[in-house]
Amino acid sequence: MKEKKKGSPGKKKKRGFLSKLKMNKELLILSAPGAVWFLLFAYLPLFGILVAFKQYRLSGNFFESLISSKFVGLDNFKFLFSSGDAWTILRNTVLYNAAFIILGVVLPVIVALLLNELRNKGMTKVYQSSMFLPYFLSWVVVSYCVYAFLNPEKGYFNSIIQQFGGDGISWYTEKGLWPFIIIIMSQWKGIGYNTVVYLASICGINKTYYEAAVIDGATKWQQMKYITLPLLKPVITILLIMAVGGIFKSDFGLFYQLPRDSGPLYPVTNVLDTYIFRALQTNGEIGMSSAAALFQSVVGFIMIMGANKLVSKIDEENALF
Amino acid sequence: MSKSRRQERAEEKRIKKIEAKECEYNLIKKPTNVLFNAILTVLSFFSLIPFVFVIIISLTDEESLAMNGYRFIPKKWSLHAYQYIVEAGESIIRSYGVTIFVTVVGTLLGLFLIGTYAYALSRKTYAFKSFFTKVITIPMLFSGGMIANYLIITKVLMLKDSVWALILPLAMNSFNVIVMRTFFKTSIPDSVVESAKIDGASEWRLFFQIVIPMALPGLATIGLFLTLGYWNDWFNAMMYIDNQDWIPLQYLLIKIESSIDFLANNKAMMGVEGIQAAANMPKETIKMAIVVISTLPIIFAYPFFQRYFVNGLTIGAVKE
Amino acid sequence: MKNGKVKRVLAAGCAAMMTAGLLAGCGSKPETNSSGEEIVELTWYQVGDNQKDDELVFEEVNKYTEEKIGVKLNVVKVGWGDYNQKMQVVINTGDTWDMCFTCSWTNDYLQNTQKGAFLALDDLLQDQGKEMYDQIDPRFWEAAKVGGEIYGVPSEKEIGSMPMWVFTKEYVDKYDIPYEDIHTLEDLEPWLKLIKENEPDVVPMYLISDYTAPTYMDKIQDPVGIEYGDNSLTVKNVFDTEKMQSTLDTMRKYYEAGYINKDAATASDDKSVKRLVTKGDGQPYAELIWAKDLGYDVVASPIMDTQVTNASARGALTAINANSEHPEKAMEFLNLVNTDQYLRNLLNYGIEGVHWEKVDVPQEELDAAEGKPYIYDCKVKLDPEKSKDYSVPYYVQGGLFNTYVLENEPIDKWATFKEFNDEAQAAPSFGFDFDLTNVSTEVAGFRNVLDEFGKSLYTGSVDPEEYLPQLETKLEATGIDKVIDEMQKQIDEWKTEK
Repeated sequence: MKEKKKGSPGKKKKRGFLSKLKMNKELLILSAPGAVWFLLFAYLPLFGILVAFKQYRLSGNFFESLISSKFVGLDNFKFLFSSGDAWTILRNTVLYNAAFIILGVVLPVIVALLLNELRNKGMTKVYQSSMFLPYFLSWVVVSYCVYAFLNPEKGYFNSIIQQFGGDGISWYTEKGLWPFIIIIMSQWKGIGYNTVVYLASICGINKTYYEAAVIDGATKWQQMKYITLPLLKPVITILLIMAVGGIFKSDFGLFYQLPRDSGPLYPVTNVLDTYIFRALQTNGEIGMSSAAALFQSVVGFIMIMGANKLVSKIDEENALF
Repeated sequence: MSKSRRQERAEEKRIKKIEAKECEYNLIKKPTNVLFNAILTVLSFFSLIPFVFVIIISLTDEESLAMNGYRFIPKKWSLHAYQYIVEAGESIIRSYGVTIFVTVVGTLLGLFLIGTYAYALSRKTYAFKSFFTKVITIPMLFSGGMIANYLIITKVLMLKDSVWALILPLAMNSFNVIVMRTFFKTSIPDSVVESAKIDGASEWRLFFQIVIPMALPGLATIGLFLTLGYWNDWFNAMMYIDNQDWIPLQYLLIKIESSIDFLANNKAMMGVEGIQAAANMPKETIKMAIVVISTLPIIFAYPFFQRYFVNGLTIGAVKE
Repeated sequence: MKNGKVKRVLAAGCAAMMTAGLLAGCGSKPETNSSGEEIVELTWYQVGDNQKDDELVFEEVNKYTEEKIGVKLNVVKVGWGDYNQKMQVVINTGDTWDMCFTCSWTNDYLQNTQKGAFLALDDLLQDQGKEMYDQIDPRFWEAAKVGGEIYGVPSEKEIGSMPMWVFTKEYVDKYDIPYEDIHTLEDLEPWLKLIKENEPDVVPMYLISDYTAPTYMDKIQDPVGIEYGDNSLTVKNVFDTEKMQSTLDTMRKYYEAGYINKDAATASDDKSVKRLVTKGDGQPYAELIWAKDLGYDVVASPIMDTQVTNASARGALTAINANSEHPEKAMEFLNLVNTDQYLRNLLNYGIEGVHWEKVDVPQEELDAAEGKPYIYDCKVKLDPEKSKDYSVPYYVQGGLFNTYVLENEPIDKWATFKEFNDEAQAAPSFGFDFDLTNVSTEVAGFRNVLDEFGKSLYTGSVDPEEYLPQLETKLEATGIDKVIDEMQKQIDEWKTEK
């Protein structure tokens, strides 16, 4: 029904459109349930974006309030840049995400390849399952566990250091260490999850390719280089494009719970999401929170479009659209 | 009958042996294997530690935990936390039930929605491919926010306090659709589709009888993602479920975590009232015990998905 | 053909909706109580965790209120950590609710009022709420006023916050520390030194990350506010005040002398750490609660005179939805909660005979308390097992002064609270509300700066000489001067109106 609306102008075009509809009938029906879902759960709520441009005040129900609230243009966005730290925060967000995007591809691909080549298949299962475990622990629980190691007074690490005559490190104020801790912990938590896609992709590769390669006398290394990796390329590319869209978003718990919200670490742990969280604690303006989310989305959108354009220039087949 | 059965089995074994021998030619060298195993062992070890730690803490005596903090070898062990859970019983078992129901129904529904949508997108000949791809790209980034979602789900779709509020919002997302589309694109050769079409197969038959079996690793991956998403979800429960009978397990846990956190951070404002409220909260060991019992079932469910994407375990399924 | 299908689906959908509508229609056939009054259901959002016996208790409550005023409750409890977020959504979407818990520390009373979420109650209070209005301390009503009108019914409890030094009794006795004479931060010094020298495994001053150094100011919008006792009402940044600067220097001195635990800025309360003194926010009988929490006896001494500020007097209120369909009924109900002993204690302790029992008060205790207000002829003995299934935060549902006291508490507990409230002096800024609409961008930046430096400075973990200027620079960059000017402007207006 929705598509019909699209093709209104021009009789000729309409007929073309109708026959197109007819020809794709079966596939259209396959798309329909998903499309309805997106309409209801993703598109209907989009009107909420308007709040970002309003100084939202209540009068009656949501729509009445939305309409009667004062239009404030871009005022709600100002707080994102008003602090003296805006630059540090953006830098942190982008740099961490860049690291996560790169490592989030490289490490899982390596692990997937390793797992795939093991001679003892039984162990593959064991390794893979254990690597999945961290995913199940919330950052709050992880932060408690990490604190048991890093606690400056009673932690395991400092006891070891002191046993060897060292002084002990004040872990939660030493900001030089945290970029590493954060990157390591994020990869530690995500590696099991991220590996799955690549493992499944490898698994889906047609076995005849390898058989042919073996007959031609290709080594394992050559098989990986000329068969596995090229065939993983579509998945890697698509995941990269989507990851780039999240460049301004971050995992809140990783940057808030894990460092125990320690002030001296802010120069290396304050990212956009933690900044927004703290900022909105004081005034609860929903216009500002919408504005912040919209800002993150718009930047993400630009990034994705850019990345997609780049990819489609090089290799159209693997682009998002 | 049993005789022929035995024969069959022997035959199977023989084939397997041959297969294994054949495979031997294409295996990595033994020393390399040792190296790979070593690397993976180290990685697995670090992944296991915190979970083992959580189990140990759940088995630590409450007082000993307060005195000594988190220790790998506690001064005193105790089963108290699990006793508490068994006694609190009812609500936790019910929540278990809710979580399992939501996860199973949601995963199946999600697989259907994602599978059909992504398959259509993966078809080169589909005239509306680009339109429907654009349809899912926008929501990948833009969302109306918490308040608009709440309004749609409670006021338009009337799902407040309904189990569907836990299922429907998570059934689909753009990320999964696109990953699934890529799986279809890479694992289903065009030739298969074309020859089926020439044979006069309808899209339905093509999809359900030919494509699905070939895309099992991909479907298992998305199925796993959906399962995990449902299992770990608490946000929708917090937003849309007031009825205590429909609270999933994960929200029970998160509620405790966030309450403890809140009470600890607002002591100055709440004064002694905060301390009193905190005294009524379940203790640390119980929290960890809930982490353990909420994670175990999913760990056991994991191998079910795993066999579809760990090579060597699924030769049969993929070769078909 | 496709059209036919669509039609069929639509028709089925309509049928389903109509059935649902019919069913709903059946369900909402007006119920009445025995006096023929129509029963109204009120939805009431409360903070706190669900209790096993909630249903049981509210059934009992409904039985009573249906008969008495024709009201039945639908209570929705939301966990401590989620309440703020959930209420933000419920309120802003214009969801249906009648009453909700609000205060200065979650589901912020002032913000919600300024955004228009709550109903102005002045008229209803003169009508359905008259009895309760006359009974509650006028200063609570004063505090509940925003722009001259009342938007919430306060739960009567302690009106001011009383920061205290909390000493471990063991060491106080051992070294004969005259704790009652110790008030300021500086007073502590000789005793911290004594403990440091004589008790190597005791932390003289144990601080954790939520510690705030003694502050002699009403921080109306942290860190901006009016100093206690400043009747000229000059708006200042707390870090610019001499008092705070010298306090921070002292904290640093203590930290460097080793009186304070090294991990103070990030620590969470570790009860196994032996300490001489720590800071607590108290009220009458707070020592008992701290002692129970810590597992040993403590004694306490107030740091300064108790001050009444808007934040402290807005510790707990119940507001009525501006769009509620039954505001009169809601007010009638709130009036009943705050004046009816049976209902109040039922909500507070659960069902008599199940969760608790009445016990007699010793005659001599009654005699001694004669003439004091809020004395009841019974106390409450909680059932040690059953009461765990219904344990609610006392101030969320109504005032404390018409609840019975527990058997281990003095019968004149609430009289003491009342005395405490009467003695507390109002801060000069009491009654002033800051409207931050014009400076919300600037204020949004504060929290980040304060969280970055606050904990380290307050606990003495960093040198104020070096870090205070950094803090100041960042606050200036966020626009603190604009906020100070705006607040000064508003407070000057307020002063002339007053």
